[in-house]
Amino acid sequence: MRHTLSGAKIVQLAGLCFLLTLVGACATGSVRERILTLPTIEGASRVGDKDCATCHEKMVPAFAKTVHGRLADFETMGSEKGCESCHGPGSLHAEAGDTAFVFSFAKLAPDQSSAICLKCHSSDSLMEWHGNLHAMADVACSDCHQIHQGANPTRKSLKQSEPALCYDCHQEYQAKANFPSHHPIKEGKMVCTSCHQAHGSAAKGLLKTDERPNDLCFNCHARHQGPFVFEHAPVQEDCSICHDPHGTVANNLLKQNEPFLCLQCHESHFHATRTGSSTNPGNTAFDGNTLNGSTPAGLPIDGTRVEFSNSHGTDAWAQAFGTKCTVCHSKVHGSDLPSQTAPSVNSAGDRGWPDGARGLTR
Amino acid sequence: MNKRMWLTGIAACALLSPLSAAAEGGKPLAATLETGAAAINVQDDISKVNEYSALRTKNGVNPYGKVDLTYHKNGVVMDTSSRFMDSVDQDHSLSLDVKRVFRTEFNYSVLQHWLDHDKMLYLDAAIPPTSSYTGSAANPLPLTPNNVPAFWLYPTTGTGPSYGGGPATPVPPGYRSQQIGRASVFGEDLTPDAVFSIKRKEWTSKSDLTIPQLPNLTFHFKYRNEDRNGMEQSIGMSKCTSCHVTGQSRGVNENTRDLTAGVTGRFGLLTLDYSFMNREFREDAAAPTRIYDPALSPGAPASNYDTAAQVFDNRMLYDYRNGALRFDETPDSKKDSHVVKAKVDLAGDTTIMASYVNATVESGKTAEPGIFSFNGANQTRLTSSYDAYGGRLTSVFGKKLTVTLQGRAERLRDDDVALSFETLPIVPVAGFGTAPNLFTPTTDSLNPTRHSSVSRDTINTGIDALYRLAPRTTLRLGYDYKLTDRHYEEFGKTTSHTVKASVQARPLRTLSTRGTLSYQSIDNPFHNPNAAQTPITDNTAFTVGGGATYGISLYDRRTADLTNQPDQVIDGSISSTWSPSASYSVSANYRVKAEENSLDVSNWSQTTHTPGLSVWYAPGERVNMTFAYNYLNQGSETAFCQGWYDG
Repeated sequence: MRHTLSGAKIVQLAGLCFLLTLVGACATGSVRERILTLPTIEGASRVGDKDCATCHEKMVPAFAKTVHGRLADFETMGSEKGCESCHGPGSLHAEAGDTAFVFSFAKLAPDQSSAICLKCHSSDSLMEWHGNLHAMADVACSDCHQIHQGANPTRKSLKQSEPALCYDCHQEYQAKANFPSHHPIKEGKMVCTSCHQAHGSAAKGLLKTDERPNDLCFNCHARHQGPFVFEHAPVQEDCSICHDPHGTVANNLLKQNEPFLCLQCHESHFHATRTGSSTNPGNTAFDGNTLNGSTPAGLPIDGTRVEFSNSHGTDAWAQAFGTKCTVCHSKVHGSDLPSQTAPSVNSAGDRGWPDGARGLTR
Repeated sequence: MNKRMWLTGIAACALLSPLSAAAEGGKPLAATLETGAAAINVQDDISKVNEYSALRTKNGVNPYGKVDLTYHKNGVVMDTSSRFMDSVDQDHSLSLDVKRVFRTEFNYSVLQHWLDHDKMLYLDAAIPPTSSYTGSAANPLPLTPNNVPAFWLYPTTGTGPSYGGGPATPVPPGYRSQQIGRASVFGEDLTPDAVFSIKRKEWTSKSDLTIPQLPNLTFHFKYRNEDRNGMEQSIGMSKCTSCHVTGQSRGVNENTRDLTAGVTGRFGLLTLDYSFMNREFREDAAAPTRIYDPALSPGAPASNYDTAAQVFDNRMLYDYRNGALRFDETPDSKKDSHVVKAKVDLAGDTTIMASYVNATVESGKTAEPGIFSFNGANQTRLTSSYDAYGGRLTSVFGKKLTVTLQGRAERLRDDDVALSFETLPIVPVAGFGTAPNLFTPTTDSLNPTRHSSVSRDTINTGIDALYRLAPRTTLRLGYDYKLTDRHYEEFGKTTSHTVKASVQARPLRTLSTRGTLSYQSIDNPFHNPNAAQTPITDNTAFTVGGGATYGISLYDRRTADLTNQPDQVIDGSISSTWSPSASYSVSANYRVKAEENSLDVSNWSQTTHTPGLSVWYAPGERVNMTFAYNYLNQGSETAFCQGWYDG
C-alpha cells in the first residue's frame, strides 16, 4: 500500500519540528552543563554576583559592560550566567576567601579552562576548535583572550591587539611582515585573522577558508579566480608555490626574484645564452600600433619603424631574457586569450610547437 | 632614470598627547579623541619603499585624527571608531548591539597600493641583419656576434668545423644548415611618466539576529563590497623575429561583491551551521588593445611573413591584419558556495564534527572570430566545481591523552576546453616549397583539447595525539597522509606522509619552552615534467626532419623534471619565553627547515634558518614596547643542464 504525505501531515510535521526547536532552545544550555566534562568544586554552591561584588567591587561593575556581562537570558538557554558561570559556584570561596575554591583560569590546565568557555561557545568558528592545531598545542582560550578588560577593551576581548598577540608565539612572521614585500599588516589594513582562523579550520595552517587555500587568496585577488582558457598549472595547484603571503624580499610576495623563481621549474629562454653584438646593428621593426590598422592586408608595410639600438652590447641578450620573465609572459596567472604563436605540429609530427598559444603573453 | 630605487625620505609621526574625553563609569557616552600630525618625504619610487602609503600619500605634513565613541544605555551598545590619515588611508567602523537580539558591524576601509612601473630598459638586444654578413657559402667567415649570417652550417659527418654560411643554397656536402638569422628584442615604455596605483575601498557588514523566542537559532548576514580603481601597467608583446615589447597604461575598475546568509542552530549537544555565499566579480574597465606588429623574416629583414620571400612560414595566429586586439583582459566571474557543518559534543570529552562544502565558479569567455574559438561556439563559459567532505573525531582518554582523527575528501572539476585555432594564411616559403610544407601545422594540432590542471581528487587523513606527561608538560605526536590524484596525466599523483612530534614544557612558572620536529616524505611532488635539457655532447644528433629547424629539435631533448616542491622536508623549531613579571618577558626562537628533491636528472634544495629574539616591556598600563630582532637566511639551489643553442 502506498503512503503519501498529505498537506495536513506536512503541516503537523513542520509543527513538530518547530516544537522540538523550542524545546531544544529551552534545554540547550542546561543539557551542555550537565553532559559535558567540566571542572568542579566539590561542595560549593552558587551565591550570585552580588556576593562577588562585595569583595570584587571594581571588577564586577566593569564586567557588567562587557559582552559577557550583557548576555541576555535567552542566550544562555537554561544554563547559568554571571561570575559563577565561568569561575564555578562561589560559596566556599566566599566563606573562606581561599582562591583554591574558585576556578582561576591561570591555574587550570589549558583543556580544563577551555572546556568552561566551550560550554557556551560551541558555534561559529568554535565548531572547529576540538582537535585543531591550537588546541592540540595545548593553547587555552585564556592564552589569547582576557574577559576582564580595563577601560580600553580590545576587539574580541583579546589580550593584545593583532598582530602583536600572534607575534608573541609566531615571531618568525613578525619578521616576514616587515620584509620589503608584505601584505598591509603593519599598515593596519590587515591582521592575522584576515587569513587565519585561530579557532580551527579544515584547511592546513588554520586558513580561514572551507575550501582550498587558493580560494582564500581569491577573496581579495578575485581577478585570478578564473577559470581560464589558458592555465598556468602551478597557479591552479597552489598559490604558495610561487608566493609567500607572510612577506618576502622579492617583489610581489614572490619567494624568489625573477627569473630565478621561474627557473626552478623552467629552462631559461635560449636567447639568454646568446652573445649580443657589440655594435649598433641598426635593426628596425614595424610598429603595428602606429599603423592604425590602415595597412591593407597582405601588402608590405611601409609604416613607422622602431629602431633597436642594442644599447647593452654583448650582454644584451642575457639581460633581456635573464631579468624578468613576466615582462613577456605577463599573464602568468592565466589568460583567456592565446599567445601569438599557433599551436602547430606538422604532418610528420616532428616539427612545431604543440604548446603554441599557451605562452600566457596576452 | 636611475633604476636603483632608494629611500631617502623618512616617515615621521608627531603625535600630540591624546585628548581623552572618556566619560565616567556611570554615563552612557564615552569618547576618545586622538589627533596629531604626520609627515612623510619619499623620493624616487614610492612603490618600493612605501607600497601601501603607511602614513599618507603625498609629501609634507598633514594633520590626522582618530575618534572613538561608545554609547551604552538600556541594553543598546554602539561603538564607533573613525581614523582619518588621508583620503586614501582611512578606516571607519560601527558596531551596534540591540539587547543581544540584533548585533551588527559595519567597516569601511580605504587603502592606496602603489604599483610598479617597469621602464623595460633591460630589453634592448639585437644581432645584425643578415645583410651585414660579409662571408658567403663559398667563402664562409667565422661566426661572431657582429658578423651573423642567416644560417649556421654545422657538420653532420665527421668532426669538421662549424661555420657561418649565407642564405644561399646549396648547403655544402656533409653540412646541415641551422637558421640563426637576425633577431632583436626591444622594450618601449609608452607611458614613461605614468604613476600606477590602485585605490582599494572595502565596505563590509556582518549582522547576527537571534529571536528570543527561538534562542537556539542565530541568523547570519554578511555583505562585502570591494572596489579596486586606478591604473596599472599593461605590457604586451609582438614576436617573430623582432620581439617588440611595449608597456602602456591600463584602467582598473574591479568590483567584488559578496553576499552571505546563514543560520546556526544549537540543539543541546548538537550544533548545526549552514551558510551560503554568492560572489560577483566584475572588471568594468575595458581591456587594453594592441595592434600586433608584422612578423619579420629573419633572413630577409625587409620582408614580412606575408611575402613569398620569407625564410620561415608564419605559424602566427594573428598580427596587424587582425586590427586592434584586446589583451591583458581580466575575466568576470561568479561564485556560489554552500557550507554545512555539524558538531556533536558527547559525554566523555568526545566531539564529532562533519562538514560538506560545495562551490561553483563560472566565468564567461569570448572567443575571437578568425583566431580561435572553443567548445564549438564563439561565446561560452567555463565552470569550476568543488566538493569536499570532512570529518573529525576528538576524544580524551583517561584525562591525559587526547586523540584526534580527521579526514577530508575533495573533488575538483574544471571544464576541459576544446580549442580551435585559425592561423594567418600560410604563404608558400621559397626555401621549403609550397604549402603545405614541412612547417605547416596539421588540423589536429590546430584543434587541441586543453585539459584543466585543476581537476583532481584529494584525500587527507591524519591522527594527532596529545599526552600530558606532567601538569605543565605535554608531548604531541601526529601523522598525516595526503593523496592528490590529478586528472591531467602529465602531473599525475602526489602522495605525502608527514610525521611530527612536539614537546611543550613549563618547568618554571616564569619559563615556557617548546620544541617541534616534523618530517615529510612526498612521492612525485608537483613538478614540470620534461622541463630542461639533459647533458649532451653531440651537437648534431638531435636535428629533426629533413633540414634546418628552429629550436624544436632541442626542445625534444628536455627530459629533466624541474620543481621547487620538495620530496623531503625536515622542519624543526625551538622557542622559549621567560616572563619574570607581568610587565616583562623575553622570547627566543630558532627554526630550521631543510627541503630537497631529487627528480629525474634535476635536483633542488632549500635551507632556511630563522633565529629571533624579542623583548616585551610594559612600564605602564597604557604603554608597552616590543624590541625584536629576527634573522632569516634562505638558500636555494636548482641544478639542471641549460641548453646552449641558438634559435
